[in-house]
Amino acid sequence: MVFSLAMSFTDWNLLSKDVHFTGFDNFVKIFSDEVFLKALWNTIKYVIFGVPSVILLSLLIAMMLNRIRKFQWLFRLLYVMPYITPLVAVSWVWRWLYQPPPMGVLNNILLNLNMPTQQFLSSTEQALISIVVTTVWIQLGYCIVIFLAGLQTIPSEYIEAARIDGASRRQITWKITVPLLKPITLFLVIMQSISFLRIFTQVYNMSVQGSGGPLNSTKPLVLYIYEKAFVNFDMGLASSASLVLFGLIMVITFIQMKFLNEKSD
Amino acid sequence: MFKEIGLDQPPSTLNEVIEVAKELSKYDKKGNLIRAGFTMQPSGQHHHWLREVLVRQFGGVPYTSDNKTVLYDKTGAGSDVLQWYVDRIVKDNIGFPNFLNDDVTAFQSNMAAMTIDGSFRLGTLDANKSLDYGVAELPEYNGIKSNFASFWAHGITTNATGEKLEASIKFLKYITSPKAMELWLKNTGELPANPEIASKYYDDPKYGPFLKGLEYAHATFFADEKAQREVLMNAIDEVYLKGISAAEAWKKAAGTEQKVLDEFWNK
Repeated sequence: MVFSLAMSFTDWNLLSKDVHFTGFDNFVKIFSDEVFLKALWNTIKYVIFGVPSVILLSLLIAMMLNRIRKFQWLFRLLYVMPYITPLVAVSWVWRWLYQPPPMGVLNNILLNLNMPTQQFLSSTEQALISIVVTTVWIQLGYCIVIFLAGLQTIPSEYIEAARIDGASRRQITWKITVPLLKPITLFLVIMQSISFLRIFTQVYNMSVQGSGGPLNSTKPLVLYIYEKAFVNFDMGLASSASLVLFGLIMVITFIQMKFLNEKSD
Repeated sequence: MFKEIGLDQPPSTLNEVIEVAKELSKYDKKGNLIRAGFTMQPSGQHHHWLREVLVRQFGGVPYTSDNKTVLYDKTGAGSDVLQWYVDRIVKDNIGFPNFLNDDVTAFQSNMAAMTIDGSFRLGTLDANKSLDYGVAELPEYNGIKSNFASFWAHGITTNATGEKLEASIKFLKYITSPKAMELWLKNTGELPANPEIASKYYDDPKYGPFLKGLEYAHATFFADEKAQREVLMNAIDEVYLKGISAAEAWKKAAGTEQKVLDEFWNK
């Protein structure tokens, strides 16, 4: 990290032996690059759309699974499957699911339901959301298992006492279960935010030629950094962009810890 | 597929190709393309086709002869080339980008009637026994024939010395020998650089059209092939997906590509 910090102020290029100190040139360059700004905004969009969806859905599913007594292990296993499957394989399966007719399964379902077909990954409006959906599907398994573990640590006495006092199911959920899960929720929100901020593999495999397209509409920061570093060999510029990503992760994590911790106090 | 419509020879002009493509395209009840008459894949070979073939056939020149300046927006029919290309996707609907994921998959699975690809694909296509295909030279237009060709060279780095240098010379001698070139050709389809060996295949039904195409081919001087490919892919996407005018998208593409070239030449 220290090396990368130092390199972000140089014009280090893998193809040349000389390294010069260039001050803030790299930062000026990336912040005037519209592709970088687009990638920065896309990265934030991945977090905004992805994190709340995955947390809410996994909490909901975990609470439902917690009520099931028979075959709970089977459902738990089913939900974890996407998470333990290699990401590249998952990405390609989804890429094919999203294809236009005649190949894409999702579009064929839409056709059979007499609904208009969708462009999904070929559309500048839908591509990012399509990748978010895939990622949420992958991350669900992990979050559900953690939430389930959390739910099972809540002493049943609390729930029983509330029930005797005449609390409704909804009240038990909102007044007991959710507040007691706060530390676990905080942990998952931070972990998920970091994983969405670092999104790469799905985008690389689901966009044409790993370009983060169409028209850069899905390109996240990590892909931008990768292209600068390993396609253009411009390590200095890539280091500067990494530093921006590092700052972004730190700021977002800090805000979340402060915000969610205050609420639980 | 040609037999379906009573053709025994491939079409040879651009207009004929498009007419045949229209006849061979198939649609479902809702009008969705289910068999492409022609693959329209800018991320594949089409960006080369657009740059070095269509631009010239529309009367233009892609770059100055010193490769430093973009000319395709200032010469010939300018953005008409882009408009023509997108019209084939939107108006004729004979194919569209990423149909069946990509052009190679579509063609290999008999879901596309015609495609543009390099000789390097022949190895892959020949490995597919269910594929009955032939090769023809690129279609001409306005009486102009053009083609794109790329080549690569072997080299030895300055870091190789002593035993390693000797070994690399030996390897280079082998890999450029007639025997290795023929092996390479049969397995991959990549054309031999040695004219003597190449001439043996001049009338071959598959390698022949590629070899003949070399006589009027141009090699692009790429400063950054990925970036320059994306410039044209994006121009097509902007017109096709965003509805931006071809004139505007073409001008923007030329500007962006000029920046890539400037950055390279000013280093």
